[in-house]
Amino acid sequence: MEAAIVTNGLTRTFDGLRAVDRLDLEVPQGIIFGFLGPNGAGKTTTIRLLLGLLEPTAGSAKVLGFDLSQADRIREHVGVVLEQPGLYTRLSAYDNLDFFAAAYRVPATQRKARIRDLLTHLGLWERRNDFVDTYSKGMKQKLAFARALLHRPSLIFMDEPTAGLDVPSAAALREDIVNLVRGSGTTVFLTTHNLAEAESMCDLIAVINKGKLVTVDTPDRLRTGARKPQVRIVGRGFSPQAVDALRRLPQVISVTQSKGSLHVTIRRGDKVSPVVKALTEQGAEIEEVVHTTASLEEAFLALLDETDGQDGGESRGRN
Amino acid sequence: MKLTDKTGAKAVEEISIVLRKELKEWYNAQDTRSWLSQAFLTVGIFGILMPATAKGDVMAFVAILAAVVLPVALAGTVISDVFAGERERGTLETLLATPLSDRALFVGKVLSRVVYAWVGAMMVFAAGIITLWATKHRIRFSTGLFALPVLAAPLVAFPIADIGAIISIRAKSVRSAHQIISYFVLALIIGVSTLFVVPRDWQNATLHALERAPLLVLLCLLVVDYLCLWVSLRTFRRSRLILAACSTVQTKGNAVEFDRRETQRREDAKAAKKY
Repeated sequence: MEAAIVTNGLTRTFDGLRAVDRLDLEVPQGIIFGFLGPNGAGKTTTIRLLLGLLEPTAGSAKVLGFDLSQADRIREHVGVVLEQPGLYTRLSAYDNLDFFAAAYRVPATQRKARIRDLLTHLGLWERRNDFVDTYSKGMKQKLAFARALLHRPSLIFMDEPTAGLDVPSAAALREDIVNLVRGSGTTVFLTTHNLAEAESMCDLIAVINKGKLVTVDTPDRLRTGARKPQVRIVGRGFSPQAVDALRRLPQVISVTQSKGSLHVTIRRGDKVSPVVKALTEQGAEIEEVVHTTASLEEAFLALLDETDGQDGGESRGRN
Repeated sequence: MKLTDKTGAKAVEEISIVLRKELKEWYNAQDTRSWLSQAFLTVGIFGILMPATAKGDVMAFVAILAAVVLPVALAGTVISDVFAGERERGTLETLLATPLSDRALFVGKVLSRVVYAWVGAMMVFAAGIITLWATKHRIRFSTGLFALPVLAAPLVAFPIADIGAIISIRAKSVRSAHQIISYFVLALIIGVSTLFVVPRDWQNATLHALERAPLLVLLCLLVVDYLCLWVSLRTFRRSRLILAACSTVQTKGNAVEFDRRETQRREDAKAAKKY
């Protein structure tokens, strides 16, 4: 199956400043693809390039099999939900969708039915004739989501769709997005600053920093790969001698102690049992041993630190 | 501008989609009271007060008002919002992400302002004729005097709307677009007004020449409109609109600001971890 998005060395420079730097990306079809990065990392510029709204300085890309030079074909087949809903506040919800349906060439005979179905599904049908400026931010974002689905696109770009939403609204929108993908096989290209959101929704996550792709992996592998395995040992009798004995073990990298528990970092692939044995031999009483993994946030920060280190602290690549 | 292979019918359909949206949005933006007060002021001043107090060839005065002055003034007043306003309201990027062609976006938006200027000018023209009839001025029924305002008004409004749209694309805000467009409008109105300060013989000669050759006048206006549109469509680019929204200076600023915030955030995270 052809990938939904393929980029080869995609680069965009603004007056010598590389916003997107030789980006090589492959997004499989039918998944939620998370595109993470700090502010100014190049996420939005990447989306603009893939939508054909900006021309690349170098490199190429194919979106749904269309080259970037066929931008109008790309735009016919993709939907967008941006951080700002991009709705006309001086039009009703229905008129907004009617305009976008016409713009996306939804046949006139199908427009009414599709708008009704989407608004009903998202719980906005009763307020279809109200001006959008009377809507809450959550309702506007739902409406923007409905707009993105009007022409049944194969790919949807979502640029921080839940930014600024309250917890229930964000959760409802996330649920709608996941249901859409699982139900229709639509590919979602999602940028977000909410790492918990990325972790719970995305099948694959790419991290971009200073315009460069840092890594692409599943959320699980990103977390486990972020740091060495760590265990938390809860118990009593963790004397200094016991801690020293642990530190002497070849499989132990570091040991830190806090109230009634030890945090032991061990080498990847090594087992915890020698650690437990060494402690009991020193007279410690162990109540609980818990394997802890890095959160996606820790993994993300570790990746950013790594790339910053590689760049030698330079703020941004220059031509 | 890269011309697409769309058929003429498809292009017209796309333009009408944008035009309908613009008119509907614009109509909804104002309540009935605001509409009435605008119409009352425009018609009252230009359609009743000025014709009632004018001297000389009053019929020609009303015709020039409706054919030139009002289309220029009205189109110039409302065009500044056309792209800069979308950018300020955060709707531009979503609009540009639709498959609507560049031509449809530009022409649809420009035409919406031309329609407004035309409707306004015709209301004033009708009110002017009624005023002349009511005040017992002599109404000359010549084809030129009646056909020119009706047909020339949209053709006169078009170049102003066209130039105004280009200014609106490049301007940083609606306000700055409006300021620049105002100079154009002012210059044109002053240019037309010179007709009323030249000697009476010259004035009459010019008016009669225009009145006798309405087709030639319309043809000249059509050529000017076509040239303006041709130049505009060649310079109109989606990417330029996006870049105007996020200028290079802003991008650099964002990058620097990002570095500062990110460094601070990581230091905070490390401090919290140690704690």
